[in-house]
Amino acid sequence: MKDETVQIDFWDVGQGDCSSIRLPDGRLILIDVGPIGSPLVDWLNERRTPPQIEAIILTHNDADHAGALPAIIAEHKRRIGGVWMLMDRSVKSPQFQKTFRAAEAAEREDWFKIQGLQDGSIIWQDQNTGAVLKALHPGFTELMNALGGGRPNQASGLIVLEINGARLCAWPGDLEIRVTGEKLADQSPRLLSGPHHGGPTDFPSRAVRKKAGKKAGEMRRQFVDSIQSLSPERTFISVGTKNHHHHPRPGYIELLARAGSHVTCSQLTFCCERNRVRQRDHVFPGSAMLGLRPCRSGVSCRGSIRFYLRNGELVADEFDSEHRKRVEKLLRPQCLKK
Amino acid sequence: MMILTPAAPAVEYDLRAAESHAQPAHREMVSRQDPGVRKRTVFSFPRTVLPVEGGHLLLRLTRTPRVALDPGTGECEVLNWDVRLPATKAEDLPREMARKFLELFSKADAGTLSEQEQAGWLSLLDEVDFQAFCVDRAAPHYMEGRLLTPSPQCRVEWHDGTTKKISPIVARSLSLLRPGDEFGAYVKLDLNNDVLGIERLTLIG
Repeated sequence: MKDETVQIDFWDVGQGDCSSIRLPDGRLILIDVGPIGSPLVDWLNERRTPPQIEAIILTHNDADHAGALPAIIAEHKRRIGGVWMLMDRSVKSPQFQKTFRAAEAAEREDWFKIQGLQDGSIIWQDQNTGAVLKALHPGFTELMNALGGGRPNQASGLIVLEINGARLCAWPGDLEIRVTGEKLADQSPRLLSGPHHGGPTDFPSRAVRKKAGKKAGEMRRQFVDSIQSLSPERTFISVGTKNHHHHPRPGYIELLARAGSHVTCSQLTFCCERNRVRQRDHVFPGSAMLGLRPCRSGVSCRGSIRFYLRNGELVADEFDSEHRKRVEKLLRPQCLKK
Repeated sequence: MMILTPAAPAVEYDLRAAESHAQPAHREMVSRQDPGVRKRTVFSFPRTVLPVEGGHLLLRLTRTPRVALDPGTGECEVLNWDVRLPATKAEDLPREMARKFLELFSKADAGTLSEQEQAGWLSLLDEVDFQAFCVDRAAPHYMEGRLLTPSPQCRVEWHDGTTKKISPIVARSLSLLRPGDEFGAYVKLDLNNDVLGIERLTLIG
């Protein structure tokens, strides 16, 4: 390992989530693994000496967060320390069984242990640096609600990385902004991932406001307050060019930018420039520049992004200014709206 | 043989001939040029695919490379690629370009790019389809699925719940399965996660 710093990579996996934390000794912690065909799998498969995977944490059991799990387990189960996941739906549900059959089989063969992710779970900590990776959500009640037929997004995991008490990074998976804001109210993170690919489930879109009637104003105020209380220095939105959910929401990006957050999206979407999407004209090849693998589909805006933990501070990779220059040339860059 | 004799040096020419034609063309051009005017002449080099790994893997170019010919030094340079060769060895240009790409790709992979190489890698990435290159060279991924219908159109439901149609040629790998059978296999995926090949098939209880 040539670099003694901790590296945090946010992968461009299209419409899905995948991050990796590389510890100074080369071990990896994966937070979500992306959908089927995840570039993380290609990258891991092409290592001459594949790294040890200290833990795989799934903030959410949907396919866009966990679809690549069987591929990783098939090739690397010997090197996996443990899997942390939510028990947010019945283990008898066919979809759950399909996605996690490989993980369950590997656990039965004693390769690693599967552990439940819940508020208070400490996934990894380092006494020397004071770094802690832990879960702040969901609690028992949210899990029970999800098991009882509630929306799984409401029970999504919220993972935070803290160093000596300073909250550096938060991965809220698909959690609502309102809940994320509440959970992180005591200290906002410097870097926020997502949530929900730039389209938080509680985003008060025009259609939602229309449906809410008189409560629409209050709903919007709550949302704006949550963003302002969070006000992360940086936000990384992992979004796919070809998504049918209209992610990311331009209004959400604008609110973040107004709150002073530097917003970066992994892929370019129609809301920023239609022609470049059609011509498959990438804005910045972040994955290639970082020696990672690109996403199989979509048009890269920033691609993947890397942060280094140096002296307790998060430092972005050296390609920010070049990316910014290229974003300024887009027709309607939502992240530059203020 | 095509003679490349520029009327005005600033104009860009289409070097239609393959690299084998470049050598005599260059000789012709140099011989006709006024020795006082030693301007670089830029030609387009009509190659959009470079073979890597003996042609098993292809590097697709997003734009036609431009080659600058310097009569002073007798060298040709592929613009944005930082590849220079004596004009007499112009037939080696595709090979050198592919080698340059592979060299920078390997260094980026190992995280050992110098600042100058980083700039070169960035400009080179604008010229090639890096996404397609990586997808082509990627190993098959392990996936689990259930065969829904074997024919006339083979359909499979993957472990993430998505249903995909499998082309008849690829579907031959699943010919032993019955509808409803659950299997694990290593699947070669293309740019849009469509299935290009299925191998190492196993039945799952």
